[in-house]
Amino acid sequence: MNLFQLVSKQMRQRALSTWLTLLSVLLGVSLAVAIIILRREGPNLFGQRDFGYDILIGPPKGSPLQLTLNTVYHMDVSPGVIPFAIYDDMARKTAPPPGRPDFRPYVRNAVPFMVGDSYRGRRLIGTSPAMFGFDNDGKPLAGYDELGQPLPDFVDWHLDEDQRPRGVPVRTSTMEYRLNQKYELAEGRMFKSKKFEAVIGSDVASQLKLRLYDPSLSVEENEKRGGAFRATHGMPGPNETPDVHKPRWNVVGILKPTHTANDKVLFIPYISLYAIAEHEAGIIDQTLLKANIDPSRIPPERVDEVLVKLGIDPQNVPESVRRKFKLKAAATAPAAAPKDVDELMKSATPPPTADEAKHDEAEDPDAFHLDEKGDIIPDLPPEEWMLSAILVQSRSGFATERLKFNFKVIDDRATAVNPAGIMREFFDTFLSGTANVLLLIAAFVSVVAAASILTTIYNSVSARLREIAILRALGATRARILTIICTEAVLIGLLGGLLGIVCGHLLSAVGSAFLQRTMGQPINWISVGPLEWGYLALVVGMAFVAGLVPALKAYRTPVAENLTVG
Amino acid sequence: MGLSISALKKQYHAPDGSVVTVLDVPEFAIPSGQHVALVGTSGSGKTTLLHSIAGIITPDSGQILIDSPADGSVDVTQLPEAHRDIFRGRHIGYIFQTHHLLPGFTALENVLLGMSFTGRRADPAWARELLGKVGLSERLDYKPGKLSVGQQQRVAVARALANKPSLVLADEPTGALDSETAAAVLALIRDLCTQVGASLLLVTHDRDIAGQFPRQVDLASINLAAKKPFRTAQPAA
Repeated sequence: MNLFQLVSKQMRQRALSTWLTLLSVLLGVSLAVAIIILRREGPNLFGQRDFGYDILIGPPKGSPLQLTLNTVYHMDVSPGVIPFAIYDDMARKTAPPPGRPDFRPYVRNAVPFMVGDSYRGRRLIGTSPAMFGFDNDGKPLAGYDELGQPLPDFVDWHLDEDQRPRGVPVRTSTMEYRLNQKYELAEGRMFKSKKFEAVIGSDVASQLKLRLYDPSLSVEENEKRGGAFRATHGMPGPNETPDVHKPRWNVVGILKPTHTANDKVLFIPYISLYAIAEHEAGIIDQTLLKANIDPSRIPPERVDEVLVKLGIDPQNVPESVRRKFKLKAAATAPAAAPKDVDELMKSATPPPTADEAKHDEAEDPDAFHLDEKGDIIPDLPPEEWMLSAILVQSRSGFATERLKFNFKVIDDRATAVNPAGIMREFFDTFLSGTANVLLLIAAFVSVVAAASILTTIYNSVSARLREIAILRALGATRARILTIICTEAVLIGLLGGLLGIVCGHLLSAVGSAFLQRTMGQPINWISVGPLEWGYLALVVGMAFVAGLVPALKAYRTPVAENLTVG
Repeated sequence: MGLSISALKKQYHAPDGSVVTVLDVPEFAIPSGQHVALVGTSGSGKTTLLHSIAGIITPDSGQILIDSPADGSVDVTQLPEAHRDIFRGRHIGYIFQTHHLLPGFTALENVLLGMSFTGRRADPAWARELLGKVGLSERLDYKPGKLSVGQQQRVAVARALANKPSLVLADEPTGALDSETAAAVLALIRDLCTQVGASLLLVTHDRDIAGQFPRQVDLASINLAAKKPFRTAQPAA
């Protein structure tokens, strides 16, 4: 009978107390391991540094964190808009016209990013096919197939020029969602930049049961079956009346999972967003609705006055929207308009019923027309186009820094932030500190578990003094007895620790599933990092120390005395 | 010579500070393979003598030589404690008055346990054979609680003989048994000791049991302290 057989036999003999002690160790370690994983994965989750882009261009108001959370993680509200012209400047591949900045030495790729609408709680992102490595007609760039997968007969564009083999064509550089990871389609094709088409994230497809548009069915039938959808303005709350836009987008492609928040959104051409008549007017309508004001009762000449009163800057309302708004008001202008704005608000009528809303919508004119190719031509003139942000892939670290620090000098209508830096700062100042506190709590739990080992084994030794004396009489040395007791403590620590690591990972798997559902980005809960092994070693060490106290009691057990007892 | 004791002394401190001499054995020996019954009354130092021979307690002075096939004649009083423990495990079999089996272990495991501290590989076949010899081949997997008192003592006998010791010490091994079982167990002990060639020193207060041995020694005749236990006012050094 070897040492382990002897120890395991004795542990089984006191199965209940052994399991309870093991459970306390398990709980402590699993909690600690879950926190270690959170701490390890936190930077990957929130402090992601391997973005496929280096710079976000966004409005100067709001915080850089808000801009990053909104653009990268599709959380929070957009801090505002920037003129589309900035994107024109940054994406330009040819020499700029006089008076416009030349970003070519700094910018490798730039893609537009526009938020504001949603479909069944999932955000719609207005962008261009360039985001996915396709041209404006939805055709793959050189070096990629129809699904956006790299073709083998091309050289990776990431390679430095001197490392590229001669005579082999180089793959076109594309925007990436993470370093060296570009979007690829699982099925379908890329949307065209001027059509009401959409490419959706993998999670959206599976959760909202959306599928590719079936040309053999009618648009209505497709909408019913999930092949087409209509967007809702903003992200209405549960008690808010959704403002459903008139246009329908056809689902033409489904992306492969990226394991980022992008899996949870729907991508549409940014131009299609400017073609929504209700869009900017919708903002005003919503505000009026909240203030219980019927827009049809506002006299056209007093619209600005009402807007200011409601906190809307009339200067920011595009002319096309203003035109629509005034037309609507003029058509139903009351005979005697109230003089005071407050009075105007008092005379407000209840919000329209669903039937009325439907009726209104049917009367809404389209804010676009189609050209001979069927491309969308928004009524909103390009100089009034706005974007939420621009994603920029810079040419080098130096270019990133130049853009970040000098952008305001070039164009004060926008600001440039480095998302990796922002998220690192966010993690360091908030998440990291929180995780450290949690880790401290977990360490305390583990110390309590070690104390529980001490108590259990101490009690067990106290109850087994005669057995220990018998073992001594049979030839077991003091050192052997010490080893047996310490081995028991270490085994409880080791088993509890290992089971704790397993449970901690399972706990993290649950957390990962939750994060996947809420943020579209899971965490790596499978791999066991060196810190976890280190923690296990610490727990085993603590168990050993805890075992030493009863072991020393056993070590000192007087044999003759205990043999004659009982 | 199987066992040779000379000038052995053991004293204890009494709670009142006085010193009690419990062992004072000028000379005692058992030739190899001999079975000896040592008779003494309660409190005459029987168990202390056996514990001293086994190295469970250390005498204050004197010499205890035990013959072992591998190491020759060894003075256990001169061995460091750890070596003494190992020597005991290898060369001395000890049968207690109460069986002192481990309750969580089966009969076979208890016998194997006796082989676990010798630094040598345990021999399960020999353990089974021994249990067969004591009539428990059908009870190998029984825990002590499921065995009768007599069967428990048989297991204890098998455990004491597990390492084929050169000396077996038995401390009132039949004290808790009825006379019929006692006789059977006693015969078993002697038989097994003969089989493995071990010397046997059995202490008892029962003259009838002692009468079954070829040599009977009155403890009082070898332990001067047993004749007249005395106290001294001086504490022991």
